Amino acid sequence: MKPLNKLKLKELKIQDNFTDNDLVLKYLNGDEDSFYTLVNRYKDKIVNYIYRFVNNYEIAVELSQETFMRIYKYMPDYKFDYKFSTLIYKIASNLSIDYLRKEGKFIGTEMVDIQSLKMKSIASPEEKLLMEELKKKLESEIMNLPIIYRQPFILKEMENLEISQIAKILGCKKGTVKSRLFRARNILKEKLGPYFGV
Amino acid sequence: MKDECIFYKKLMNDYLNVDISKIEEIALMEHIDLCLSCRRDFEKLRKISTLTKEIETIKAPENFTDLLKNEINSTQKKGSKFMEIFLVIAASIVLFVMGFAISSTYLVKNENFNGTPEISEKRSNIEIPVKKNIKPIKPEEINIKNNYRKWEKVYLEEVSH
Repeated sequence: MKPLNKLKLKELKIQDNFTDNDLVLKYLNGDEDSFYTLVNRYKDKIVNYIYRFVNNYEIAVELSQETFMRIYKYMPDYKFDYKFSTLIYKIASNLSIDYLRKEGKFIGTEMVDIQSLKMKSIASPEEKLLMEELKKKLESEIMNLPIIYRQPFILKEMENLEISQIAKILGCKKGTVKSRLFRARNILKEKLGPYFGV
Repeated sequence: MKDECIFYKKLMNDYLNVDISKIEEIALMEHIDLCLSCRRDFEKLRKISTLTKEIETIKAPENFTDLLKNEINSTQKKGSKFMEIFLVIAASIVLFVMGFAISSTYLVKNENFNGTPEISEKRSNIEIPVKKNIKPIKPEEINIKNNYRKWEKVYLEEVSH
């Protein structure tokens, strides 16, 4: 490896140590690369998050690009009242919902045949395979959740955000988020409960 | 379902939200040890939570950042081109308005303006004698060649005076 590449790698590692707000500040002071460090930090999360709504990879990538474009345009007016992650998930949520409304449908309502997944006792050699199948079933059931329950559920269980942050993203009270999570979990429990063999 | 179980269902949710106090957590665990129905529910909810976290995350394509960079650059170029066009149009409008304003100022100065502007004496710096009481020409007398000579004669006479 050339010394220049080593230096670049070192720079990238240093960039990784910065908080989101540090990177925003650096960008606002003229360091363009800081913005792309933020992009690299969040691109997978945002694509994954949007995919859980639209259930189409190409559209998820397209909407993620649009999310970052909006952030880029918003940057000169950036206010540090919110966490950067709150802002980006908020934009991604709004874009996803706008897309679903525009399409006039909630994509991802097709059901997976679950009879093959029914299991009372899991044979040890097949356990891994069955768990993978169960994950697919769970994924499908998450997609079938009404959007008001799906949003907080994905933000909490997949993106590991705090309740207060989810409340800010969705623009509702913490209590509302909690009750929606409660409802989402109960729906999933009803749908998947019999297949856990508990 | 017992009334107390409803309360512990709420605590299960708080536990999964990682939004529970230590005392509540201890109370929940004690209840779960005693209540079979709640224990089953709690196990199911925990499995759902664990499995959800294990679901493979969808990743952005490798060229995601490059695509975004291109998009941002092309938007900026479009923006500057638009600005260029806007400035050219604005400058043209300003020049047109200025030209119109200047020309109309000179033309309107003449009080007798009736669609055929006369050259202002001040502006041209040429003293043009104005013949008063000019005899009107009858239509039958109109003969371009003769009229031209007639007017030429009158003009030269006036100038010589």
